[in-house]
Amino acid sequence: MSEKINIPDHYSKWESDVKIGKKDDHVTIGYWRDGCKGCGICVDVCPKQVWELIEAKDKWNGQVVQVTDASKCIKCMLCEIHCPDFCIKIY
Amino acid sequence: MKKSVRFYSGAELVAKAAIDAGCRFFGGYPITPSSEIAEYMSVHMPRVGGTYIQMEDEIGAMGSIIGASLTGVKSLTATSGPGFSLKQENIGYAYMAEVPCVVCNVMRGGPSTGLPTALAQADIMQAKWGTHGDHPVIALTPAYLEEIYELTIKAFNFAETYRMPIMLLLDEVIAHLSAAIELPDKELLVIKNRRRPTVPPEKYFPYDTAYGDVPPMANFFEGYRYHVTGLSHDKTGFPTTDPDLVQADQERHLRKVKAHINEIIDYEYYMMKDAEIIIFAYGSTARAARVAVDNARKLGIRVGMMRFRVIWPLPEAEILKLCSKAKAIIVPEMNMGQLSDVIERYAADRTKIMRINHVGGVPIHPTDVLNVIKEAL
Amino acid sequence: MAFEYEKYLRMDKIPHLWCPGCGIGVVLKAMLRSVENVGWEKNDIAFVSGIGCTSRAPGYIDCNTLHTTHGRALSFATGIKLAQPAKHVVIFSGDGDATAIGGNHFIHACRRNIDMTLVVVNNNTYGMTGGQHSPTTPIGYKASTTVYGNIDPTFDICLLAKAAGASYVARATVNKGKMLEKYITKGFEHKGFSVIVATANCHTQFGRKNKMSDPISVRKWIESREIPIEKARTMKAAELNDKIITGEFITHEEETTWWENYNHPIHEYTEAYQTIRDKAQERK
Repeated sequence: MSEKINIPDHYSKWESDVKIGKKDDHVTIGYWRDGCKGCGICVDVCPKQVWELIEAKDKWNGQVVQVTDASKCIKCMLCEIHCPDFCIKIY
Repeated sequence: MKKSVRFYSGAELVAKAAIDAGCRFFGGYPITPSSEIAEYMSVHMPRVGGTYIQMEDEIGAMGSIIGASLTGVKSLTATSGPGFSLKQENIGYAYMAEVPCVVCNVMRGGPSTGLPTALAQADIMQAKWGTHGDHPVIALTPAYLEEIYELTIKAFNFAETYRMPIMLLLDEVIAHLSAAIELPDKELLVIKNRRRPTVPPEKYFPYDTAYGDVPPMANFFEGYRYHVTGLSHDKTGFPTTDPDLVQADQERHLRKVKAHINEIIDYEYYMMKDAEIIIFAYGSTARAARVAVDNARKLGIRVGMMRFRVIWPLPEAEILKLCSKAKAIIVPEMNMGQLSDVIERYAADRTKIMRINHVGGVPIHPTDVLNVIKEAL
Repeated sequence: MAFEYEKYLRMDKIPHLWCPGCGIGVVLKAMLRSVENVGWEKNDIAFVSGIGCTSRAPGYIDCNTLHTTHGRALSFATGIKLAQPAKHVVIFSGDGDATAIGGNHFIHACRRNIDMTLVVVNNNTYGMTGGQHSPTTPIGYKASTTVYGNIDPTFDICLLAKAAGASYVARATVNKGKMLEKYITKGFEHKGFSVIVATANCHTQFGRKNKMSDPISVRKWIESREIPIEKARTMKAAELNDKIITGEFITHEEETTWWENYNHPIHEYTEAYQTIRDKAQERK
């Protein structure tokens, strides 16, 4: 795939080779921690438990998310579409 | 040059002058006694390629003209007392967001439904204080048909020059008066348009005070993608709660009129040279007062009249000067003393103030004024 | 592939002011993707809103944006569209803004069928003012002004829009971001007045008072009440109590024979007004 990955530098990145159906693919998950408000919607909508909530003392509600295992990602884009804070980019 | 003399009503002249001033959007709602303006507009706006719309209510009418004006189209709405009240929130919005537009209010009796078909000057104070918060006010009060044409154009020029809504206050009788008049040559009209930004979009701020108290205004869809809000905002147009910025912005708004008061104030002296009794009047009552002055002069009474063509802001310095030397001040009004209360502050202990307040819907008769003049002696 | 929201956002204003998990962000994203789908130029779009949580959205969008007075967004938008009929006008409104204080503008904008798109984010409450009950707060639910339970019957905004004459009406919920995008895109493409209702979660104000204080539980509550319109048509009225009917209520391509569509608008307003101009100029 020749698509341009356009994740800004201040994003955390996780990468992995994945198999989607029978096709080999590669996923890059970008996550902007500063913009994240720790609502947990990505954790809820993800069908593969890619995301998990972790404690974050610097956030007012005390939590943010992180990627547990990028290789589980099936690029369904649900987390990106439903993140209300423009914090997730999936390539 | 061919002279064009024909019959016009006051309402028609408002609409005609607006179109001649470049107005291309009218949003209105039927209300007596201003509906004729809308009717005329519905015929003539499409002829000149403009837009006429009858909105679902007065509030919507005010909103629509602000929206149209933001895209660079000069716009007008016309209403009367109760409708003017309904428009007030959006009028405040236009002050805050600094959107030029003209609101014509054909005044009728109030409060509430009051006297819808009768003469009154009931909204002098509503024009000044109708919306909440502090803001500059420019309100014009024509008394003659020719003047309606002239002052409507002036209202549009003020709106464009100072980026704010302008009030055009007509008395019911003046709006409904018809007479043959000669209009000025269209070529000779002075038409002003809003100052446009000269910088590229990335350097443009909608409320940039670097250009003076009236910032240049970009129109929507021209590449200057900016934000307009009724919230207190900084120069970028985005909301701010910074006390200093909000304070400075409010002061700038008021300064738009205060600093240019000499270009805005507009009044006429009649028989004032040796006058010791002075009448302050505006609108239709000034016409009665003028006859009363003539009649009093015939009796040898030294009386004169100061007539306000622009009622807000008032020419404070001149009024103060007159109050200091006058033996008596007479203020005839078709309300319970909305202007005379203000004049009283200038008169203070300097002179006595006599009021004529008629709210019954029947015009003040010259004899009513003459009687008070005689009393003042 | 990830969507470049940055292209349409004023990034210096992000993160936005909405609560963690607020549904408005999801709707805003769907709307931005729809703008990309129809390929509009940013300079040619005006985003207009009223007052409320939802109405803060235009401030984040890098277009011509107008944040007006409470409920009046549609009237400002009408002025903009009529003055510049070739441009695109999108209104972003909340349930209280659109159907309570702005109810009159709402039905009349539908009636005129002006080519604009209204996105109503329905979160069942007045979020910004502290969670008072709105015209869409379901009966029995609590708000800061209905602590004993709400008794005010609700509006179905879609049916209201349809009855008033809007020519494209659809509803989706924040649980279905893709569906929202599809409907908003169709609304943008549609010539005439389109209304898209996005049922969204307000856990901070509405949820908290109804034992659902986190975004997930309100989203689940919404999901549990979703009924696709095709299925709803086969159900009894009583079964549809408290349900959210999703789908397209009226579309331009569909020429249904339902009696409910009898007032389907016959023309788009700005085009119709042009015929008025032509007539007026002929007579001149």
